[in-house]
Order: sequence, then structure tokens, then C-alpha cells
Amino acid sequence: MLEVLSYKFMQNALMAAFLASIVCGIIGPFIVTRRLVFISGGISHISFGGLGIAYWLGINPLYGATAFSLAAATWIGFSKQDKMSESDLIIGILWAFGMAIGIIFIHLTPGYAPNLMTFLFGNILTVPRFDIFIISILVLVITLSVLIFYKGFVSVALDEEYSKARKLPVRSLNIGLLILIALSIVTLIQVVGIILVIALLTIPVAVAKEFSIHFKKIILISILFGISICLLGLFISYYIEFPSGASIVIIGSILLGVVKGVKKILKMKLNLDETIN
Amino acid sequence: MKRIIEVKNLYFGYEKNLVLEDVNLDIFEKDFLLIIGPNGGGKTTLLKLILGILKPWKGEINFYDDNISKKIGYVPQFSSFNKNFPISVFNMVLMGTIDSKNFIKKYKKEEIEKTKEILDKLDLYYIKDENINSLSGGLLQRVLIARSLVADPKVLLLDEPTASIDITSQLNLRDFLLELNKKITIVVVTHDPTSFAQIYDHIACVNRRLFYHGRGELDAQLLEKVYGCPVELLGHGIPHTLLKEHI
Repeated sequence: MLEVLSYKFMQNALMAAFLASIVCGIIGPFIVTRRLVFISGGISHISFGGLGIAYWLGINPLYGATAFSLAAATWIGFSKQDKMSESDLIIGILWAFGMAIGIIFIHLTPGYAPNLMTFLFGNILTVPRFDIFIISILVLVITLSVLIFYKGFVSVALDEEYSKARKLPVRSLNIGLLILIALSIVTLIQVVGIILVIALLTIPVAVAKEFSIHFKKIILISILFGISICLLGLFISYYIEFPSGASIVIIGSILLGVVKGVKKILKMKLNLDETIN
Repeated sequence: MKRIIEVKNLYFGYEKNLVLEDVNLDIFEKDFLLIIGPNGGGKTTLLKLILGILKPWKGEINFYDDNISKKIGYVPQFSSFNKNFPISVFNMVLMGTIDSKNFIKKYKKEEIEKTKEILDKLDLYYIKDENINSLSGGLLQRVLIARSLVADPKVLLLDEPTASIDITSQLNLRDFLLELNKKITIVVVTHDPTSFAQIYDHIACVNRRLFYHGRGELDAQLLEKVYGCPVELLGHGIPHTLLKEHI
């Protein structure tokens, strides 16, 4: 069992799992509580366009994905303010448009495109060492930003109007959060792929919300839960050669179901005891 | 009475629709001002303009006291904040201390002490660890007031504070605001002014334009007659003319 850990690709995979979990734990709770799931899904799929172009140009696809997701986040941040309902429509269109661009450019790239599936569904076992380096920097930026602006982010997430009345830079904080979401998505693409990113940003939070009402604890539980499912998914994909991203998402979903089920049973039992007494 | 806030020739609208037209209003020190009017008449919009949440199209809002614009407490409608956000009563109230200067700093000891003090004063300390989403309307209202009071406001703006609370809570709220009014200015936006009929100093009727009335316009005899018939208390015209006609 332990000799697995001496493989370089396995060390990279473990690092990737660890970094991805930190990101989902820190950013996921903001996405879930602020109902930015659709926007995040949009940013993730739009980034596929950049990824395809970078692939076609022969540069690291991670750069293309980063550029596109950042551009999308900034654009949504600036336009969101006044025309909320319209942005919903436009995000939907860009969602598909980004994917289409990506597919066309990967199609245009001469030769075999072995990485297409990896981008869409992720493969934690093939993350290159250099990408781990880039992801580490992104995670550091995300963590520091949230630590510094924590009070502001929480205030705006809870009550945007009140934050405006208290003269907080609400617009900048919103744009900042969207940029952090974009960076998080880039780090997660490597692990679970574009299509499954949203699962890693939501499932750990859904579990954590069952255990605490304190935002900081929700962040902590999300990180721990994220690490658990990433590691389980990683070993399943290593030993029985299942796709890693899909394994992680399925394990997470099953555990979420178990947690919710157990809680419901406990609550029913508590109600029953109260009625009896 | 000393004037502390002045709204002058104010125009505002959403998209192309004019919501407020040539609005003028003075708010005084230790004033108890009721802002009434039909739904969609622009009451809440006026409040948000005074708070700086919205920017006027035309006209101005002046503050006649040092730093008064930073000393305005705000108790929004229940629907305005994110109920999906998990937070305890204590942390919610503590967040009332956040402003543009300290939002990247840690909470100070005084801020935490102040929060405890306010929770104690409003009889909320025993629920300090509860999730705000599990509170009843009356309790939630008190939490929102507590949040606005931790920053020591000189003016307190309340938006429809009686809308989703029961009658007992409404009476408690009235008594509490009356007590608070000895020290600070209270502005209440409401479509149902009955709870505050006996304690206000001025009334502003807002329906695109603003019409201002003082307390003295109410005839004491009529007030007695109307007691128990509250809908008419603030009616313009027949049968109980309590306020002057709008010109």
C-alpha cells in the first residue's frame, strides 16, 4: 500500500487533492450561501474556450483556462449590478459558447487530442508537477485574499444593502469574490474537470451546513470533507481504474445522502421521544 | 429643534420611471418621523437615498452634524437580507460594527463587549448562539435593531418594522422606540402607521411627491374619536380630516 506513495504521479495527485480541498472549503461556502452556483458553472464552462485556444496554440492549457475564466468573472462582476435578470440569460449563452469555442479549437489542433476527456472530467493521476506549482500559487492567493477580506465578504454575503449603508466597497468586494471563484475553478479543473467542478464546490458545503451554523466551521468542515472524498476517489481510481473525477463526485454525493438520512432519522427519533415524554 | 438632515429638490427613478419627484424633507434632532404612503410610492427608495445605498438623479441630501452620515443606523425589511446565510444571533449583531474603515481588521474587544451589552439590553443574550433563520418575526426584528444599535447611531431608520411581527411585539417595539427617541432621531417607514399614531412628531406622505405634516395639525378631539378607528387616523379628507389637504 505504502509503496504507492513513492510514485511521483501519486505524490502530485495527493498534492492536487489537498490543494483542491482547501479551495472548495474556502470558496464553496460563499458560492452556496450567495446562490452563485449557476454563475460558477458558467465561469467553469466558459474557461473551456480558453483552454481549447491555448491547446491549439501549443501553450499550457491552464493559462488559457485562467485567462478566460478571469475575463468571464470580471465581466459578470461589472455587468451584474444593474441587470441581474439579463445576466442570467447571457451566462447561459456564454456557457455554451465557451464550450463550443473549446471544442472547435481542439478539433482544429492537428493530431490526436488525448487530453480532451481529462479537461472535461479531470484526471487527478495525471496532474503535471509544474501545474501543481501554479495551483499552489493560486491557492495561496485565494486563501490570503479570503483571510484579509473575510469580514467584508461575509458582510456582503449576508446583507448587501446593509453593507452599502455602512459604506463598504460592495461592488469591489463582489467583483473580487467572482475573481477568486474563477481562480478556484482553474485549480479544480485539474482534479475533477470542467463539468464536475461544481460538485466539488457544493457537496462539501452541503455536508458542512448539516453540522454547523458558524461560517468558519462550515469552511473547516468543507475542507476536511473535501480532502476525504478526494483521497477516496483517488485510491478508487488508482486501484480499480475508475475515472477519478466521477469517483470523487459519486462518493461525495453518497456521503451527503448518508449524512442527511442519518440526521433525519435522529430528528424523527427525537420528535418521537418528545411525544412519548 | 435642530435640523440634522436635509433632502432638497430630490429626483430619483429606476430605469426611466420617475419614483421620487422634487422631494423636500427636513429631519430634526430627536425627531420621530413617520414616512407613510402606498406600496410602490417611493418610501423605501427615499430611505435608501438617505442611507447612500442609492444615488439621486438630481437634488441633494445634506447632513448638518459632524459625521452624521456615518451615524445612521438602518433596520431593513426582513426580505432584504440573505436568509440562506448561516449565522448566529451574536455574530449577526457583531457585524453591525463593520464599516468602511474596519472591514479588513479583526473585531476589537470593545466591539465584542458592546455587542454583549446590546444583546443584554434588548433581552437577546439567551439566544445568542441560535441561527437567525430559526427565529420568530418579533425576535428577528429585535436582532436587526440590535445590529443597528451596536454602532451607536444618532439617527435610526426602520423600514416597515411592524410588517411581519405580531401585535404584542408591535407594542413592545413602539415602547422601545419611544424610549430610544429620548436620545436619538427615529425615522419609521411604514404603510400601516397605526402602531406609531400616538408617538410621532412629524409625518411625511410619500407618493412620488412628498407632503409633510406636523403633529400640531392633529386635532386632539378628533384623535380621541379616531382612537380605535386607526385606518382613518391618517386619512386625508372625509370623514376624519386630521391632516391638511395636500396643495
